[in-house]
Amino acid sequence: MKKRLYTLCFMSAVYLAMLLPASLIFAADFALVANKDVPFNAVSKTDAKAIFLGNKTRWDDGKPIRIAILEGGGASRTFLERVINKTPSQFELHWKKLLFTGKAVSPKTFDDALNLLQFVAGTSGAVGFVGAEEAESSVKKISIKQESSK
Amino acid sequence: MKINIYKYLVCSIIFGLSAQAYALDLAGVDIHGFASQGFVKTINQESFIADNSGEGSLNFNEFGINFSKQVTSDLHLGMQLFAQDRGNYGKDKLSLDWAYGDYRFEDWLGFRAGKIKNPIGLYNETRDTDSLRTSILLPQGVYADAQRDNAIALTGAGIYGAVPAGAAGALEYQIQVGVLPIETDGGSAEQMKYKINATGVGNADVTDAGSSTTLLHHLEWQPPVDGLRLAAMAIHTKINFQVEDSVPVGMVTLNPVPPAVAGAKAVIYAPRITKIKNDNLNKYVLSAEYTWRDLILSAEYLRQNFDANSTSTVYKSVQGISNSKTVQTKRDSWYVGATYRINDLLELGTYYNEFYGMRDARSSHYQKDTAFSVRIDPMKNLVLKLEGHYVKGTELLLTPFNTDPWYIFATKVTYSF
Repeated sequence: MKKRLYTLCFMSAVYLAMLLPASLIFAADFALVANKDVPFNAVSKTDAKAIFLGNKTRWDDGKPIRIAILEGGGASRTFLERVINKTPSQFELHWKKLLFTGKAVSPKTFDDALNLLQFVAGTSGAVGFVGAEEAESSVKKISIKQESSK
Repeated sequence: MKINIYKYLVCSIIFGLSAQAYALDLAGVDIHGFASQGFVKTINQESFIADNSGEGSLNFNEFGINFSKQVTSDLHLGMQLFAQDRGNYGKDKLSLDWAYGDYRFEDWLGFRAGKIKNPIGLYNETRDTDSLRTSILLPQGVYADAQRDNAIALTGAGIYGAVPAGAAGALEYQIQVGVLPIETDGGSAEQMKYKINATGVGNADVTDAGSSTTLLHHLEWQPPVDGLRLAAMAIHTKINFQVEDSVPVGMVTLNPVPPAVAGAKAVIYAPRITKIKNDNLNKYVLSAEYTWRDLILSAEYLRQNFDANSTSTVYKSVQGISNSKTVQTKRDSWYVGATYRINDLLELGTYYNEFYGMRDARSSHYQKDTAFSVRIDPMKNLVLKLEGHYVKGTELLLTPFNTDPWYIFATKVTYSF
């Protein structure tokens, strides 16, 4: 009887988790960071969106852009939803569509902010996003103009 | 046997390599792949999507693996191998799905050459990769599965780009010129064989298939409304097939030589060559997609016109006897759909699609499909799907039963990396 009750509770918890909207599971702020050789301190939201969707591949001075994607975590979800207007799964699908049609090669992806920051700090033209408190002095913080703080 | 070797080779590569990493990078070559196996069962129809769907079919799969390399910051090269099975076509034969070089001069101007996917509607370019959408079957009026081989790609060249439009949002364009590499054993050819077999003895074989120079242009506008994209596309081409078979042309009395019975007669067959040309083929698709958080709404309208010209020559004597006819064909189709991701595990989808094979006679040439889909992502890279369809009309079927309504049940599992 007790075992049945545990099973029932467990299954109820699983079903509740399944019904919980994904957009309610986060709450964190982000920072856009770039290699120090990027000659800009701010980008528009439109440009930031174009960069991370693969439509803008060069900085305005002609230098190639190398994007770095932080996978998982609240900061990543917040950045993608507020700036790119896509959920993490929609963003992943967007890139898979490019990869499976030959329109792009994979962007660099990272499971943790430290590795992403090392990549951005050591790669010319690189740009990525991390949690606001994780940005450090080895990279340049880039602000997003206008709509960024909606 | 050869077919199975290809199939298992691709599977082995996909699963073997993907066990090592999420996305592979070998010496700067980016490798991705997918393997998708489905089951389809139709009720009140014998054959749709797979030729033996009435009894329940596992001839419903796709496999692909692609290789890309960023050679310089402006140039990248790539190719994808692909196989699929639908029972009477596909048969897991390995083919080159796309292979091209892409040189981006500026973000607003790039150049591609090779075998390039065709941006027809929102989903044609990605139709082979099941994990990139919620439904198993795309709305068939716009993305007919059997017509995949004449829509999926062209061999030629094109330009593309993304152009910021200031307060008006952003524009993306693609213009492509080339030929459609239509296979003599693909879905389109299978449909031609069926039509010819209906007037012959059933031994039709497609000996040639192809297209004239094809022009495709596609424009997508992302207006300054977050999540909205609108697109318009047109393709102009001519498609041709040559089908060879035999037809009965008379009777002959057999010689009274044993074992034949004196006076018995036999049918005389003559070879027939039928040339089918779909001239002035113009296809237009208007698309709209709106994303709001986890909800995606989509709608598309397809309009297609062509002159179906058929010339059959029966070689009863040295001089063949020909007859020819032309039928003007006007089709259209539309659908509205919605998907909603409930959480990281579960996504639901639905669409309603109407297809008309003759716009001038809609009441007797229609197919209306209501679909419901469940997508489950139990772990990264693995997707499970369940789907049901309620269908009225049989306009997209080659061998319809006159039962109305009829039903499709499909399930699919896909691994991709």
